[in-house]
Amino acid sequence: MKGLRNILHKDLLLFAADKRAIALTFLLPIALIAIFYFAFGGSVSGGNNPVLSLVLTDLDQSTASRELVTRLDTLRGLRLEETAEANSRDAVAKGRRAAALIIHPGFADSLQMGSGTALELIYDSGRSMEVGILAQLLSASISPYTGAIQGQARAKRQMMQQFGMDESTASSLLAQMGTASAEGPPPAFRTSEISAERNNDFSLIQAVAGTAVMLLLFSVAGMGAGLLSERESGTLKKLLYAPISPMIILTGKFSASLLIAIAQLMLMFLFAALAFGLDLGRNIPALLLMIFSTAMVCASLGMLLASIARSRKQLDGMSTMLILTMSAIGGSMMPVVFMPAFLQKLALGTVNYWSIQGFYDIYWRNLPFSAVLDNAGILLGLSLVLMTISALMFRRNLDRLL
Amino acid sequence: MLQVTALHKAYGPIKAVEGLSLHIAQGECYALLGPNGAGKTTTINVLSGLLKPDSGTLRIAGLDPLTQKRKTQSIIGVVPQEIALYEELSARQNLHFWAGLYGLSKEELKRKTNEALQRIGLLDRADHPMQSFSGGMKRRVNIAAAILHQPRILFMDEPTVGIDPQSRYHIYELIEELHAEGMTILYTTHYMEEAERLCDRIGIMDRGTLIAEGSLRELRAGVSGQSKISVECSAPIGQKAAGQLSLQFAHRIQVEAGSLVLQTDCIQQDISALMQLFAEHQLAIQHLEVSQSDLESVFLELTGRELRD
Repeated sequence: MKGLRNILHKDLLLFAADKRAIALTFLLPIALIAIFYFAFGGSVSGGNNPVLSLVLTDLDQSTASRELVTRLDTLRGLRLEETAEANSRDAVAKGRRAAALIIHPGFADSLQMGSGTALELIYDSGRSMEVGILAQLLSASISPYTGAIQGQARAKRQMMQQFGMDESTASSLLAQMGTASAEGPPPAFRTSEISAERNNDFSLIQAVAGTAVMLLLFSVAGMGAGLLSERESGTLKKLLYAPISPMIILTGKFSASLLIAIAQLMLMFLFAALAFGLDLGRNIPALLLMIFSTAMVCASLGMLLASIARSRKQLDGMSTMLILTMSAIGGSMMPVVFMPAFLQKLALGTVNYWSIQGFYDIYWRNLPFSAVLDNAGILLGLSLVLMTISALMFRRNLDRLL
Repeated sequence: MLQVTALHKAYGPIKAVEGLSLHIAQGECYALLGPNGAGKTTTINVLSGLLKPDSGTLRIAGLDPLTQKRKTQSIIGVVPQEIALYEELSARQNLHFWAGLYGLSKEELKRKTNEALQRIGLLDRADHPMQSFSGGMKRRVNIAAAILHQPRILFMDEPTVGIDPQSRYHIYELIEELHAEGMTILYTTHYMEEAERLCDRIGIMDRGTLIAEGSLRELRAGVSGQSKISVECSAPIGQKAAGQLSLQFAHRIQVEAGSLVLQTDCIQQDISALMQLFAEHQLAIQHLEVSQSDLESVFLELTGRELRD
């Protein structure tokens, strides 16, 4: 343990002595958080025809409601999932889907009565861009359908009341006229936001979480490179002359990376709270768990990269490519929900995704501590796997490292 | 203190060490002399537990480095060829770190670091970062880092590579002090003068094999006619004198660039004989030079190559 403590202490001293590393670790992320915050805040518009998902619950189960579901199901760019009402609401509440459409009982009757349609779109306002596109798509498809039925019903009522026609004559006449004269007012669906309380700004959370994870990955890759520097300077060889296990060397370096990573994440969230008003105190235990698990997995990845790379140059190239790819897919650069479905699936394999979603759960979805356990568990599990591979690679490549 | 028997180590098809056997007594300073690639560093890496030998037995202070690796590592000190220090840290921080790996207590660390800094003459620069030090100063700290935990045997792998003569001289003094205090030292070098000056015994290593071993005197004695006496006369040597010289010194004497050159094993005796002969023939000596054989010539004779090859 003394060897481990020594190596940890020495690495922290080396870090403290490197002013450039300190600036890159702490100041650059702060600057980027600010830039991304403003960038996300001003860019909530437009879209690139992504495939959107919508959960739907049909509580009416009438001919009209089933026909509406069929129409929606054939829409290009929309993936429809029909499920029970509770599941629909839960999917939006937990951030799995941006919106859910509920067809309430009495939908068919409301169309015939010409009153407001019994449709409700519940949505996550944090995903306003996605919800906006979805609402437009739904409106364009639902309005002509419900409008036609409502218009015909209104015209039929008028014929019967004002001209004394019976129902079959009015229906027959309307059928001959087609739908041209049956234009009714566009029916709006009721909309309601799913979360009861929002204390934080979505763009701020995206900026902090996204930037924090991406830059943390860069930082720890740099710290992992310390292992290669030790090899180049001959200090690694000298460490191996000492009566300590090679695993102590790796663990010592990992511990130093972990501590610095935790400090970096904490500083980033603190900055977001002080400068932009992030409600940091909402769920401190969950925040600490997510910071710890994110730092663990990032530090492990840094160690793995350093154990695999044969030279500093190789490490730089490898880490830049991997980190930028993971950050792009995993939601650091833009929210995952705006990406095509196949990229959203790939995102599940990135560190960024699980970490960012965890921070969303805390600060956007306002979920309890138990909600981040899954994300933290996945990150810690991944960390364990990466560290095990690092240890095996380090031991295997020890001769080459000398 | 150190016993190596039939040590073999190869890197794939390259045989780095082939059947090396050596014995170093307690308090002895032993030089492994050889050109680059002779197998010196591999030997140190095996002895210090970094590399596993392919075969052979090792004992360091009665311990087997293969089965008692950590125990053995705790009683040895290694001064590597590289200046293996952290440039951003101060000399004191470096020494604290390296000695700390050997389990010294806080008080011991503080005391021994100060003693070591005093010893290498850098106490006044103790808190300066290493990057502000000269190469020679760094080399001294490099040595101090290996002796703070008071090892029973010190392996020094070419510890003076790439430094100026003055710094080298400081390091020689430090090594002589350690030797005088009774520390056992295994010193690898390809500098003849280091081996000659610092070590009690010298092992000459070439292509993984120990080709000769002994004190400097023993090694010199092991090769023929290494020392030379060169004499320049003020006047040409007459036929009578030349005949007597040939008779007395036979094939050991020849004329090179106008000088008489005599190869000798016994300098004093041959100089007396020459002086007497010159006096008899009334020849005045203008210049006389004696060049003793050195390890360079020993190595040349043993391998047919110069040491720097």
